[in-house]
Amino acid sequence: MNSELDTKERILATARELFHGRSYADVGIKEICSLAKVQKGSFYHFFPSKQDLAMAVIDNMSDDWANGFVAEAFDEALAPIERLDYMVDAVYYWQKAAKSIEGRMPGCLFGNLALEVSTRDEVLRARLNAVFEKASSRFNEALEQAIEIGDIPPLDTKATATAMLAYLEGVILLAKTRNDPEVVRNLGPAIKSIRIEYKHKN
Amino acid sequence: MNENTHTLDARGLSCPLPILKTKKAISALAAGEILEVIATDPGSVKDLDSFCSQTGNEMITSESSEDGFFFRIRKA
Repeated sequence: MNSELDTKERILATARELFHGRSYADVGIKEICSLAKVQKGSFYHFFPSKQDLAMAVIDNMSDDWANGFVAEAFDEALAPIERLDYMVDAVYYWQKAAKSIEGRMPGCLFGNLALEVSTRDEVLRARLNAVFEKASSRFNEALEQAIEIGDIPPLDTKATATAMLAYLEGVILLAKTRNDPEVVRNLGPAIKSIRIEYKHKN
Repeated sequence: MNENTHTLDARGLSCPLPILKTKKAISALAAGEILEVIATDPGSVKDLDSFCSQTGNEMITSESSEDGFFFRIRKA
């Protein structure tokens, strides 16, 4: 049982690294199997298709992050707006560490995949969209709490949360294109100043 | 142990968790107090170094042993 689990974990970890560092389309099952040291037969036992593998990679990474640094950043013990700074720090240090190992800043796995597959694979697009919605809901919760305690004036929290996520993803994309994580450190903290007011109904 | 010294055990955690926990622990301290951090992620050496230079906190000790990496940081 344990070795089965190890095999699956090895495939996932290898795919995660390759999809993130390179791309989805560019990486074949053959290469994943050879780097993960598993037979093609056992690959298909766990993942009937490459799409199934991509779904598992997305779920695995989003769970890991949700329980790891995202939980640490969106800690209820921190002031709601301060959580945004922790989130930016998490992105900055993670990207910086990845760059110092690989030489290239990998960007956001979900952002990379979303750009690559959204027009080609409806199932993966929907899965990635769900990850973004979940991320946006963390921002939304922080904003609602900040309003509740009077730290910020009332605003459209849902739209602002989505705009904050869009800003962060955009900053990561620019930083990746410049191959410079300092872009995240310099621009990231401005995420706190994003505001979208309620539209007047009349 | 000095009463103004606090300890953070970040062993087994990987980037960016040690740095986020350090930032939290430091922010709870008064100026001049010391935070000792022990970590096993090799990336924490560079991370904590740049955290200190960016925040003005002082890295007093940064050393590695077979148990991991040990840091002493004085809050600015």
